[in-house]
Amino acid sequence: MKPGVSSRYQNEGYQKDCNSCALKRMTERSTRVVPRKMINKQFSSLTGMKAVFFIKKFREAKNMLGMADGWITLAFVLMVLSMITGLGYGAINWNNGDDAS
Amino acid sequence: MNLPILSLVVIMYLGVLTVLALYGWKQTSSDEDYLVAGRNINPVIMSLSYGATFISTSAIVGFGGAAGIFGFSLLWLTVLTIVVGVLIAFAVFGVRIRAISIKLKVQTFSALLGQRYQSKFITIFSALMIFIIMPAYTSIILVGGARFIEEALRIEYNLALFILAVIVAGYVLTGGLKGVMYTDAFCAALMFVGMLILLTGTYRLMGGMIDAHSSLTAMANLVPEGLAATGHRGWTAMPAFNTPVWWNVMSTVVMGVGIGVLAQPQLAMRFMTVSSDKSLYRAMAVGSVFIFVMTGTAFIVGPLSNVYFFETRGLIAMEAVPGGNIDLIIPTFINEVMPSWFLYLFMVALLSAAISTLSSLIHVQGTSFGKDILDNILPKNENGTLLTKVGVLVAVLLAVMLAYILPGSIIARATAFWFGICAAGFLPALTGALYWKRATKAGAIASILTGFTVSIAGYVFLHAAESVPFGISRMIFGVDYLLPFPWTHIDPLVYSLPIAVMTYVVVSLVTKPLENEHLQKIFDNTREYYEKNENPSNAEKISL
Repeated sequence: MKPGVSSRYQNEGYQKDCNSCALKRMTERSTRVVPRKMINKQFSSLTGMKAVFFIKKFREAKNMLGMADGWITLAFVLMVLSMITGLGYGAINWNNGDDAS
Repeated sequence: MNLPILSLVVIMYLGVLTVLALYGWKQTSSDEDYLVAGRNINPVIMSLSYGATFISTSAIVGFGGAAGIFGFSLLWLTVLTIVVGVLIAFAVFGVRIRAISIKLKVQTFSALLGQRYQSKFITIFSALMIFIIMPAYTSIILVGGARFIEEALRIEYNLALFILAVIVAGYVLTGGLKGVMYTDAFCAALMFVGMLILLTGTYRLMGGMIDAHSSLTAMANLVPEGLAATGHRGWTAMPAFNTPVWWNVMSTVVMGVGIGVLAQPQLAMRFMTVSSDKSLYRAMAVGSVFIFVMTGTAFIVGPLSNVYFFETRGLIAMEAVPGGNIDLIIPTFINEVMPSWFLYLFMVALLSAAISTLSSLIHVQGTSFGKDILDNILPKNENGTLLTKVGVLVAVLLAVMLAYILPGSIIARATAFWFGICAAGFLPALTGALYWKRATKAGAIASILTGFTVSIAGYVFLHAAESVPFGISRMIFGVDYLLPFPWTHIDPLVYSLPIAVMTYVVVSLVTKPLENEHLQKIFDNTREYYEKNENPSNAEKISL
């Protein structure tokens, strides 16, 4: 049994059949009053997961470009993105620029 | 390289420049044509001219060489040159500079500041700073161009210097800003093609982008001990934080040039040459791609030259060039690696980079001297263009003289020096001039004086790279610099710009604002202003 997980969710059959129940469970939970601490904890664990995901992706990109340092990879990516932004912004405003000040 | 073929190529190239300069000369009939290209330049020509003025041989040879030492960390400068030097410069500064220059009927950078703040002192002082300090920057562009000609053509350095100076003086004198911009655009096209081929050729030579980067990453253990001890961690890694190398790269090169670009008089002038805001947006699209290719290539090829030199000679780039002169890294690499046909193209591309920037700088110095200084000091003079031409000649002579005085390996540093001083001196007053109604004449004067004084004092007494060769600190205080590390490696821009901004804001808030009518003229919608106050001429209607 996984620690900290209700025995109800340890049942594989339940998990298989009830993937769509996730939304229902969340709705049920939302009706309860949840202490702020718990919300913060959940939020931080969510953002933490996102951060881990992005860091993982970033490391993959770094390796893909053959750089030793994430900051250099970031500069490389931003360099390309800023060029595309300039090109796009100029193209979007090709005829839109106001002639007056 | 085959000298007869190269001579033919250079003669053809100079022939095209002559034709364009003559075309500019034919279209120049008034002061406005000579000074701001009649305010109706095509946006593509404007953006190419802006890019070619910004990207000199200094950026390619000097900064490319610096990237050969410091590695890909200089790519942050490419990011800033696109974001600040193109996006912010065109969309935030350019549109206002253009509009206000029309309303105030000014044709130079110094006059724009002076008239905005209703201060003759600001006009003359700014012009004086441009005329006195800019020759140092002009001369290192001259040095960069001459060094490349020396390396490629195997001709004597002095002769190369002389040829460049004569060419530039010739067509700035005849064609004015129209001639300068037409030739700039042609030069920019050559530079763009040359750099694009260099970038793809270098990656192909090294087995593709990833292989090239990975090879360079694997060379991290070859960083010389001296550099490693000061924070260098390899060519594909950022220098260690708060080390001398980190401060050099981030504060002097990246911040100094990346932010300083906003307050460059020769670049700000370009915004006054187009007929509408639409033209500026169109120019922005072209400009971002151009700057991306130009700076990106230089800062990628520079570090990658280490891979080539190590594989062929067992040396890193700075050890492979004569005397460890980093300004020779890119020319040597190109001479050895690229096919001979490309050398001809790249030769004219680099010559173009030097000539286009030089001509713009010389033009700005000439206008500062003739239009902003002499015109304001001398009794009423009808022939402003003649005075400007005298200024052009003086500027060329000054640049040639300084080229003999300045030491080697100085291209990148001197560029950052000029950009840093300009940012501290002009940026707060320029930004406020365009966007802050509460800014006052006293605030602008205090900010300009503080910015220049603090940044120059920083270079003379604190920043080791300049204070040691200048020797003024040793002469007065008996030490090379007054404060210990990190002050010895923090570029003065880092503290002089915030001090100048604070001075500007505080003095402006405690002094009397400018007249409401004057501010309305500047900040009101251009079209509404003319409807209310004046009957614009046909030329002005077009530009509105």
